[in-house]
Amino acid sequence: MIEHSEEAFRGRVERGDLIEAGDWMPDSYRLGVLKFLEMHANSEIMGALPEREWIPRAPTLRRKMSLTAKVQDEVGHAQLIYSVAQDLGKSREAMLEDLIAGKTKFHNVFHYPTESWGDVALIGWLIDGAALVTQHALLKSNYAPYVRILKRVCAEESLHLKHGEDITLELAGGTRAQRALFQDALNRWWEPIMHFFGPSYAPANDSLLMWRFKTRSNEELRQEFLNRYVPRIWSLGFSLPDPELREDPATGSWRYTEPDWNVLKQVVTGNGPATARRLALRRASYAEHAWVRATLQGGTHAEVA
Amino acid sequence: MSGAGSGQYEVFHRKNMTEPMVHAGSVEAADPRMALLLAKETFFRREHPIGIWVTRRDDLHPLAETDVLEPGTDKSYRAIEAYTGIAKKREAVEEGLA
Repeated sequence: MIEHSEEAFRGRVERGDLIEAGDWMPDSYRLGVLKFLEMHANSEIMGALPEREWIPRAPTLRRKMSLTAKVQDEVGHAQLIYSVAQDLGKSREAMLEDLIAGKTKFHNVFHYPTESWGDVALIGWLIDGAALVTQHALLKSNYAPYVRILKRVCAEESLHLKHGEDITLELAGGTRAQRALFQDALNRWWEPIMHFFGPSYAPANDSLLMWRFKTRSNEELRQEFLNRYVPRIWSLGFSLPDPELREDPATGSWRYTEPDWNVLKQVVTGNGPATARRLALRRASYAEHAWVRATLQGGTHAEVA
Repeated sequence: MSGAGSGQYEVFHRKNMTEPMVHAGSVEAADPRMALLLAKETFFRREHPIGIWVTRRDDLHPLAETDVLEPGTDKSYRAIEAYTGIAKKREAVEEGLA
């Protein structure tokens, strides 16, 4: 019998135990994990929107189909993660309603507009790449239900990464105008990508790190991203809008200009350039589809076909 | 629908907490407790899963029309194999720039 006390729980965490939804856990763990999962699920469902905007404008039928499939995957990830979050004590309905009311957060990068097909390439390759770095680290999390579904999520994100890289390579090997499209996307998206990992000074008061739900700090994850992607971006002949960006040969770590963290704070608290428009779209679709939810809950089952 | 009673019980287990539950087989039992005991003795004398579930077969709802699981059209773009050769593509682009 496991003792129901914060001290006993801390002991389990320190022994490296994995935690199940039905286990006793202190509120600071349960609420912290719930908030994290809710934010992840929100980001998947909001992250589908910037790319969805480009489905009608995709350059070929095959690109249109693969982008549609990707958007469908992202919405599917939201479904998986909302289900795991629900078991920690907040209903799906409450989570969706808080999202559209602007009460809960989603990742900074989904608060920005997608202005060209170059942005679709960049999101698919680098935003998904950044997300994959953080999600891979979370495969070592101690919350077992999340780890189980993250395995599936990561497998699908790996496909998205190839999809994004493929579009990027097409632009990189294309005309001057195609290359300019991707360079322009890099110039606009670099700061949001640096923001994505969060400030390096956060770990000291990061309770999820203390509870070993998270295993790696913001800065470790950013460094891994820079190490993996910056050389690849440069080798395709593109530049990044940070004159300080370079690998320190002595330490192997990357130097960069400290981003303005006030901008991140503004963006994720609902003041990003596309926040209002995207939330309005989510709100409108939630209202328009009320009859679908009501029908599905009505007890008359549709045939699987 | 019931969680108890005699009949066939389907048995699921997992090897560790980061793996999904996997079907092992079935046992005939008078109630869920007996089904768990029989499952343990029948399937797991040597393997040591970290968890077992049993559920009455009557409570499972298999999909009858399995043909709907087949893709209706070519959806190869959903598979990672659609992007084999991406490393060569990258090399070609890099060489073209040099």
